[in-house]
Amino acid sequence: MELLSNLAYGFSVAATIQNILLCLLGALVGTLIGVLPGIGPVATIAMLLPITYKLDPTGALIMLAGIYYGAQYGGSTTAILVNLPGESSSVVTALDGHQMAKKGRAGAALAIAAIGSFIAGTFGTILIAALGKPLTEIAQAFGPADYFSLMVLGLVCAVVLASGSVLKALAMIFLGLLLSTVGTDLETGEQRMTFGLLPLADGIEFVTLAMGVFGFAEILRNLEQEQSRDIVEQKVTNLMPTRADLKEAAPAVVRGTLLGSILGILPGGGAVLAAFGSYTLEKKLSKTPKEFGKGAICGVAGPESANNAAAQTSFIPLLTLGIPPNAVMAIMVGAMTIHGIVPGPQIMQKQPDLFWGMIASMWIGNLMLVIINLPLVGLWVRLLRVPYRMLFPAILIFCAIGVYSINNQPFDVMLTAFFGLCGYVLIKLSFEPAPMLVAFVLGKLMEEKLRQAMLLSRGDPTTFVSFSQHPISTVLIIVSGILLVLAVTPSLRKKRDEVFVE
Amino acid sequence: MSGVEIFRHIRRRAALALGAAALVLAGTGAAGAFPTKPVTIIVPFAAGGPSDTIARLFAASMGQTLGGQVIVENVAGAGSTIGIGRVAKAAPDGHTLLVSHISHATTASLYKTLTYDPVGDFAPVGMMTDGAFVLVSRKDFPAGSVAELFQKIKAGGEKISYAHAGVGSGSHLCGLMIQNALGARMNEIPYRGTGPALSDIVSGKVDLLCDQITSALPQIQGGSVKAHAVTSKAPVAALKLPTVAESGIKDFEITIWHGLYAPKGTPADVIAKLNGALKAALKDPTILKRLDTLSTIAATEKQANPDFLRQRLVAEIANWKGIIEKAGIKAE
Amino acid sequence: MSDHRSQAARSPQDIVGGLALILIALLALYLVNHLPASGRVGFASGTAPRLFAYGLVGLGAMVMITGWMKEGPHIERFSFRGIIAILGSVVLFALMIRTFGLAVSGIPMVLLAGTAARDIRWKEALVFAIALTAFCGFLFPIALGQPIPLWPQF
Repeated sequence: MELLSNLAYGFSVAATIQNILLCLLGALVGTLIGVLPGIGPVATIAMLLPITYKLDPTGALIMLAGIYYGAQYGGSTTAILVNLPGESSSVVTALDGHQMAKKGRAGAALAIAAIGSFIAGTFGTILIAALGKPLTEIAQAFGPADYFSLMVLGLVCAVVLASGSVLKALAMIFLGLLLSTVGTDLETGEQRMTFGLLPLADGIEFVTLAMGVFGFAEILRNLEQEQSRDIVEQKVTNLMPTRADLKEAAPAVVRGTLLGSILGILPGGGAVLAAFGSYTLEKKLSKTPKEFGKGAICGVAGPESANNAAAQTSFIPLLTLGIPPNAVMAIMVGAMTIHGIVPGPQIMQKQPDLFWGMIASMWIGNLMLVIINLPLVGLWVRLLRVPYRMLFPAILIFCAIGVYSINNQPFDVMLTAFFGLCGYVLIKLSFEPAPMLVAFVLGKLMEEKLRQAMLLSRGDPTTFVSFSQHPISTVLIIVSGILLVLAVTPSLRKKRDEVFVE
Repeated sequence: MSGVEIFRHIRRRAALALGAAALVLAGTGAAGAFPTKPVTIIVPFAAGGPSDTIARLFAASMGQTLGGQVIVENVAGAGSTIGIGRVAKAAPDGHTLLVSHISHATTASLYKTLTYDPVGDFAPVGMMTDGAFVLVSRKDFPAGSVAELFQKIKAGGEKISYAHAGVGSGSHLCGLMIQNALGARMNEIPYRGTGPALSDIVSGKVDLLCDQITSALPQIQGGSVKAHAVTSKAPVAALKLPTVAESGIKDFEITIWHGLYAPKGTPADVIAKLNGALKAALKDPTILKRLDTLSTIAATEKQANPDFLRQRLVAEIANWKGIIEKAGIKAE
Repeated sequence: MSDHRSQAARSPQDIVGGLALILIALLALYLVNHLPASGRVGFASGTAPRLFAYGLVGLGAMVMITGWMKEGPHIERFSFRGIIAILGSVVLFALMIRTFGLAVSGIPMVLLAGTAARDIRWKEALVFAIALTAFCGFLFPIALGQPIPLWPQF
């Protein structure tokens, strides 16, 4: 088998002492910055870039890639422990993960997230090695119209994120979409809803919004409900998931991995779509959908596997086409060019040691992360026993520094405080922020793709449902329509029943 | 460099920072003694992009020449105007510098209200680099030569779709200049960044794109796009392509040029010292080698002077004013 | 159900929430009023914001209506102590960081945030604020190389 010999070659490159140390270092740094809210992999990789000049290219890339997936693992930790999603794909993890933590099951949530991520990472790596090329072609088949329709499907799914009222979730989706349009218009350069403030010209940063409505609002709520925060502090039961937990989570991990692997190849919102697509799927398949949002283990296992699989397969467009699908990958391109490597279709032939070495190191990196993270579970859980009066100021200063460091703008920090207030009001009025955040992430891409599709079709809106022009788009729109009807009817029926009861 | 050495490097950096901080606290500020604290180069673009890479390359070398630390800070936003504005208001002591590119000139016309004067608020140190764009199309685009391509654009530009990375981006400006020169309009499709734009060129959903050579090179070499011409006046070594200027649009030139600036009022001797460090960096073989892989040309001895940079900035502002006003675009 | 109660708002959360959404949407519509609603291909800079704002007005109205039809929980009291301490500390940090650096801004920030907890112990809080600031000062600008001003810059 050629694949096996290639992988064996890759492991011979990656498994040198130096490369394993670099991989470990990257994974450790990545975990650290992932756990710290706001400091993202993009800034960290950029900072560490000069250090890698002196390394050989393979070693440098192995370390940088380690930071990237280390940050993915670390990000889930903060989402679970303190309800702070540092990046868009961990919004979903925070939903049930933090609820599990509140029930004293933080250890189980962290462990299942790490295990799920490892399995997903392994599968993703194999997929890159075996099917990188044909999968790229699938991604290439997606044009602007198809992307737009995929986003529509995503938004319909976002309704399912809500554990309360469907109507209120829909309203939150529209609020998220509206917020995503703040900033400079892509085509004309006009300022939209920026109040003339320059720092708003590039739109609202995801991190400011997420930290405000999730993190700060959570702190405000915890401070007034002293009982609930004591629960987090004191009632920590078994650290590891039970056999029953594993059995329950296993199918979710498998489904999440498959979904994430496919969506990860699509540039842009791949990881987010994967995470809550998986959540939606698990909630629909579950025998106890009411448990979702209250600490269902499948609600952590599925999305975590999905976003890690997506993080892994997002390397495919970079490695096979040389086109970076997200900001982290763009920096990886920068790192490659500095070493005189031109990423792209030729890399597999011209630099087989780099290509296969990196793929092998992905797996080694994931293995290291699970080895690093499982023992850390105990440490993290102990962190929850720190008195809350000390924990929350620490969270606040980490967030403030993290937000400041995105653009070095004090304005962003103030905006986070403002969104904190908004998030607190949302809690008081029983609106859920998760659908808003998901819509916010998808909104930007959705408007961009809608506009491109309209320009390419010269203003013909039927382009999205024209089977001959865009078969993928047409199918996606039909599926969205069916799902929307299915999502809305039960609530209508329930309302009618309530009316009858009255 | 092993992992242990990296830790050592980080520790060394920590020691440097502490030492520098101690200096600041001690309040040493004698004139002539420059630098007295770490020099910050502000890059008005996101970390990891081409401009950031260039700034970091130069920062490392200039730090060695100046005998102090030179750090890079990214202040991105509002088409680079936030970062440029920060430097305009910084203390004119040479410890806060700016690395900006062509957008320093174009934002003067794109934004009606800037918080700074793009020429008057700065003391140029010298030009750093110059890099051309390359005009690429989907690989099955029916044009055998550049002349034929231009003919097609003139004949029915609206039928040809032109991808760019958003208002004011290099790819947008390049497209504007071509349309302006040909007196035609194409169907402009905006993207968020050149990555997705290039992706849609590869899959044949859009026709044309004008991109920095660095990012388009792998596609050109791999044959997944068709390259037509480069936008500099001189041919580019890495590509065997004609220039736009010799293919029918006389005197056509657009490049991404980076310049180093200090705030206005910075003492002349400090500027001279910085200029010396810049020129030393431009002779550094490792920098030259890395610029080469970025398909970017290092500024010549003459270009790396303050006067040359000022003239170039003034000339570009005037040139873009006409093009941008004619196209009727504005960012506010 | 008595007449008295059916006249009063029955789900105050939804009525206030729906109203707030409508107001946000109206603000957005006012702000994008100068932008074209449709362009050369039926899509312009003002299209998407208007579309989403109209949707939000409609959904906000529906939330309000259901708030009248259906009984729901009352709005809990707001804790102004928490809002002032928590959000105030973050704003304080934002105002101070550029001039005073992390070393100076961190301490008052952590102290102000600490007052949000009713069980604050001042001595402990002061020691903790200094220790936490020192830790952050080492971690972010030095170990991670983030360009955050550490010392005051006058």
